[in-house]
Amino acid sequence: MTGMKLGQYVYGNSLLHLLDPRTKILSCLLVIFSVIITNNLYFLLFLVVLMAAAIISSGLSYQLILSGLLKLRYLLLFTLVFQGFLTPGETVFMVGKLSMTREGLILGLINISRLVILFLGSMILLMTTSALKLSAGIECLLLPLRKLHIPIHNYTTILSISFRFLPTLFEEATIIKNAQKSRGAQFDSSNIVVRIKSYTAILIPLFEASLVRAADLGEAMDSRCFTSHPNQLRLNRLQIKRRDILFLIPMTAILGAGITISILL
Amino acid sequence: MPAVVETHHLSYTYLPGSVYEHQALKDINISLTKGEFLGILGPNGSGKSTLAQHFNGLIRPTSGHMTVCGIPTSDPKLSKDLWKKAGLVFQYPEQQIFQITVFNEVAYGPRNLGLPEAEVAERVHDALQQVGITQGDINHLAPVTLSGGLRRRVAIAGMLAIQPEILILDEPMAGLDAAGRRLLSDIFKKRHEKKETTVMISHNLKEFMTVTDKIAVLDSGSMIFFGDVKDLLMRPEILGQYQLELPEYLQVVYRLAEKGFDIKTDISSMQEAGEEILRFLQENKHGDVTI
Amino acid sequence: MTGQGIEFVNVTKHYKDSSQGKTPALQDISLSITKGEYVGLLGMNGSGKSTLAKLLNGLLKPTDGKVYINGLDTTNIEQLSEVRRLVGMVFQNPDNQLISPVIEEEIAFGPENLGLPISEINRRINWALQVCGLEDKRYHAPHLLSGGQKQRVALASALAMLPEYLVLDEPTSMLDPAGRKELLAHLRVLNKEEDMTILIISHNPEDLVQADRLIVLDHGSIFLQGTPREVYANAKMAELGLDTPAVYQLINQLESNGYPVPENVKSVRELVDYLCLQL
Repeated sequence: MTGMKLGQYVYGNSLLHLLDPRTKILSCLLVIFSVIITNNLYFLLFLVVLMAAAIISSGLSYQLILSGLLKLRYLLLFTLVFQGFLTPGETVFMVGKLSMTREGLILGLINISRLVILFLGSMILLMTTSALKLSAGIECLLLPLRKLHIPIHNYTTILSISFRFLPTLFEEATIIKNAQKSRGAQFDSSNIVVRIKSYTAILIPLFEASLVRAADLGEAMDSRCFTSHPNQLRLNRLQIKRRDILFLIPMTAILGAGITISILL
Repeated sequence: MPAVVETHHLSYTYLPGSVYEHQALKDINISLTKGEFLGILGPNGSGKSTLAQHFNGLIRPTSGHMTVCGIPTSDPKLSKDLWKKAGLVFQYPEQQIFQITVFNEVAYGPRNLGLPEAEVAERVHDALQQVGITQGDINHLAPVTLSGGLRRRVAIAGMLAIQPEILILDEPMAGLDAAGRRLLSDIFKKRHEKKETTVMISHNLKEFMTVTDKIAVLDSGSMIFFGDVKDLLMRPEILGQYQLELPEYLQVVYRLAEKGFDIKTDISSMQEAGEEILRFLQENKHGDVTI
Repeated sequence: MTGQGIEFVNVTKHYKDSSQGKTPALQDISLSITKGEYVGLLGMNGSGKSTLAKLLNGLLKPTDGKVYINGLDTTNIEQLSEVRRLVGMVFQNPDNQLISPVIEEEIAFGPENLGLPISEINRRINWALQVCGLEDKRYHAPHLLSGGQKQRVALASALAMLPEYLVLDEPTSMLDPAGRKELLAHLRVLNKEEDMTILIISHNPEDLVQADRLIVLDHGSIFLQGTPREVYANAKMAELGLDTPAVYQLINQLESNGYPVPENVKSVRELVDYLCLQL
């Protein structure tokens, strides 16, 4: 498990891995929308269970995801408590002058479920889709915006360059940190001012190197006649298959169910 | 003479137990006495930089033992302050410059030592002198405005100002032009003459031909050779296999010797090589062919 | 100016925000490079080498004078794209040239900018990968590559535009000896077998051994020109403080002591063979 980070793409062969990124992005949006609309706790809990099933069947590390959820526990708890005390209704118990209501608890659980679904959904998306495929999917879905003269391809180029340099930046930051440690910088000092000052000794050189890099990259790109263009190679690799269509059907059904439930109940 | 650096069966593995596990150092045994100059040679990926980071306690051995200036590097509490005694200068050190003036940059180390400002100023002045920067007004200049070679010297001065007992430099000549290399070479020669303990890492044998007392050759984490430069020069199989480039004048002389000609191989400079080749031609043209 | 080749006609370049006062980066330079040549450009830092390189593909425009590539004027906006297609550039820092998360996309970048169809793009990727020995790295991420491999990717990316001239600005200064050797070997193949005109800028004399001709710059002007032998044998080189390759130093010593050494002796091996013949 060492070295694997939460939200990092992990290679796999499950259905979710093989789906076109556009399908997955759209599904995410459908789920998000249905979650926002519904106020029905049972529906939301059903979605949580569905997500859990998807995680396990895709071979993703549920331990990693659970530990990520655990990091959110204060937020979730806060939501429950906040909602519980501030919602008027039938009192379940009292804490001093504050009254925890049944309606509040249910609302709190609803919001917790929403947060959990959003968390799980984004984790599933990120862990089954490589950064490249993801940005190709986003670029493809945003293509119609070109008609409005929005330079989509420039933004995806920026995104792409950022992905490319993330590991490099991380490596450079580590080297600079070690170099400054070798001169006595205290990164684990108990004094927070000292710690902050030490981190500026990493940030400033990193920033400077990035500025130089940006200038160099600009020249390298100009030397190859850079113009705003679609990333043909990447987009060409995206293909909608039958499984994508078949997957979207139940996803849309979920949204339909969500809307129906919220209208009827 | 007590050893100022000693390693016993030093090994280091990155990310043990994970998918990315990689043994960077295997059973390294070196020793360095005070005042000696040690060169560490090897191709990329041989573990040179990993070994360098053991010297000042940045990395602790996975197994085996290392003592630097009497401090066991495996002890986390004691090795925390090792940076004051063993100064490690990374590759392209000018990239770590972050202060607005040269003075503040060089003063960073001494200030971290907790020294009074008067002494800090003295050390900065002294360190800049050592790297050959004598212009007084440079203290107020922004490092950003200086040339690459000057910035490198400023960065090295930043380490010298800490006055560590051992100076370790990882590829200090990387990316420099001829003038830059000559300047640094002179600085190292002076250190060698003054018997200041130095460790230099490189993949270029030419850089330490005249300065080093001892050489360690690494390959894929293992130590292939540890001893005197002269002994290394007599092991052509090592030189060839690990692509250790001899200075070209030596290559010419060695190849002639390999062909069986009677030519002196105990050469230490270009001038000597030229003279020896001329002498060799003269003698053999007169019919004294010794094969 | 028409025809093939690179022409510098009385080129001067001032930098607008020059803090050094009046000295221009390049002063009244005139030179020509014919197709198929392998030219080395050397000089101390500040001699104007990088400026000259960037003038070749229009990244910089001359303050005075003209630069012509196959007759095209680099200051002509309409011809700039074609100039940049004709002159491929490889820079010093391997990392700061690669923008894509995947090697094959990096190579596709140039052809995509030219608006070529996907079949042609794929064809060029295949060819460039093969010429630079990177076929097994096609789907790799650049940060996992060594410096030498990254430079070869930069080379492949430039080659994918099918240039006629390759300009390399200190391509080996951040590489280890193995990476350097590999890159130079590829350049030699490109020059000899694909008839690629090469201009390599370096302060590393070993990089320039393969050159047909050397141009030495000093403070923005051409100090010396000629074959490597002629240049390194010239006593004026000592003034500049540039490194002379050991082989040439030995050759100079031999020649000044009455042992003429033929022109084609450039390497250690050739020198040793020649010396053996003398007996």
